Amino acid sequence: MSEQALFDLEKLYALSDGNSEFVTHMVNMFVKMVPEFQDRINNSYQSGDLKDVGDAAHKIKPSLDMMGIDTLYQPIRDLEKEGRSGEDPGKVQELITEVSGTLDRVCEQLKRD
Amino acid sequence: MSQPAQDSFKIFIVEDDQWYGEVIEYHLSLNPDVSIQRFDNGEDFLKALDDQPDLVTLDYTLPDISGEDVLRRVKEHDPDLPVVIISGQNDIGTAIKLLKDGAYDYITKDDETKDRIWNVIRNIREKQDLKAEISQLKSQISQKYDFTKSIIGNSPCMKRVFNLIQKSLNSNITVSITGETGTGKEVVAKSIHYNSKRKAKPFIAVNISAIPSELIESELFGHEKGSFTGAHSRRIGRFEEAEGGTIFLDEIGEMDVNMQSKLLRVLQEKELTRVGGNTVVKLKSRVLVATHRDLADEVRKGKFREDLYYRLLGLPIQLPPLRERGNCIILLAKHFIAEYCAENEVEKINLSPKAQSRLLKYPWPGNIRELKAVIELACVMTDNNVIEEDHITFNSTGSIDTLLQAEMSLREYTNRIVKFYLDKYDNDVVTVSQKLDIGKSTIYRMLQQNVI
Repeated sequence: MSEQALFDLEKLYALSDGNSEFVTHMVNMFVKMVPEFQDRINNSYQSGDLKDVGDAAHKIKPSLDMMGIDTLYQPIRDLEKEGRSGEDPGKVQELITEVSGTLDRVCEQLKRD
Repeated sequence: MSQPAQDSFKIFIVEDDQWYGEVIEYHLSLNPDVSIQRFDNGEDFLKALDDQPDLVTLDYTLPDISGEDVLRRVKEHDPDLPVVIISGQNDIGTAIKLLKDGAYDYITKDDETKDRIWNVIRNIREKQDLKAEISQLKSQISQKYDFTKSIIGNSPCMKRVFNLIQKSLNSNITVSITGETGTGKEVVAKSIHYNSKRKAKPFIAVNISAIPSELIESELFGHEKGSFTGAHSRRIGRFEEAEGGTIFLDEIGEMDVNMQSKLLRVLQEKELTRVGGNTVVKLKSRVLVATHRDLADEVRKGKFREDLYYRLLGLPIQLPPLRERGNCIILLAKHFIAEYCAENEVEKINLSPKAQSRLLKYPWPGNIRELKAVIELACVMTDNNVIEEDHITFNSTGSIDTLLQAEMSLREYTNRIVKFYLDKYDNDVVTVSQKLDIGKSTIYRMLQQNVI
């Protein structure tokens, strides 16, 4: 049984008037962007800059929404909030793992498709 | 980065998230009328401001400079350039602050972002179209009231008027325009406004005699909600409407004494308060006034406040009655004929020498307004594109011709004339005897005999 898709490109198709070439271009860009995001949050977390983790989450949030990654809808908002508050590094670590892991799976699915 | 198309709606997208910026750029560029330039930092965008975008979408969090600072610098550069803030979060406090600082709108990044941006573009384009139309109309009005063209006349008395109008243009002095009814007082007022530095601001004309005395204060100065029965909402007055422009108070001689003192105070203090309110509003409009009455005479009779008279007198421009303007009558008649032909799309109409002579002999009690009516009727009556003597009909209720049609005796005509003068000068026998060059005793005798 194949894994359920973690993304939905419907919004991108709607925005581009159904231009599949454009959608493919944006998907490729997204796949390249994800590791940069993961590096940033991991490095910032390691160096104790939790605020930057929150800022990075804030920045990527609209792109995740646009890619229709519904499972990350709440976690990315929580990461933004927890990172910026900096009160609970443990929670931030948990959320980084969750968000990063899901994004890895999303990218695998996207590359497969 | 796309190349801007000519005459298209130019949008600058300032967005450091490459992926999101590219999606928005692609979506907006689906409309062929839109051209887009995208910037991923604030400084590059600010350097490009001279390219005059029509709209800026600005991501609130940029890597090099805060959204707030970018907005401030844009507003310093061009206060009218609409900037829409696009933010990743819905923060009402920030939104209110940015809107107060001059942002056009605050949009959060969500599924509705694109629709909201389109709404903004549509609104701005509509506004731009209206602005262009207003500016075109203003320019047309300015041309219409170019006084060298709008006020027609070449008689020496009109040259004096032109000279005075010219002098009034470079100053904010109050101008008082006097002249009989129909001599063109409002045309002169508009010419002064539309040829002055205030021409881009409003010209507001108020006919004092047309407003009931109990409403005049609120009409001129506005009122606050609930300040009197019927004041259902706050309303700004005509003085405030004319802010930065010109307010023209026509028939100022008809203002009641109570209101005169209120107007005097406003003109002296250069500020007003709306009826029922406490807020002081600075007076920034220029004041022009007009009357067909002899205001100095009204002051002598105690009907007009002397202090207000001197305050309003400023630069007096006395418009001569048409009967004293000689050949201007023919120039004006030809102008009205041309106007009639253009409006009704008919061939050129000429004015025969006999018709001209008839126009020159008539005393024109209704002045230019009457001449225009007479000419329009003559244009309708003509059969072969030439206005002849018999096409000219005078219908003035007070015209001498009409009076003569009554075929009364000389004694009856004399009685009528003396009675007219006595009415006009408040039964002042001395003045009337001087005006008519007859003895006072003659008038007393007529009064005793009850013939007048």
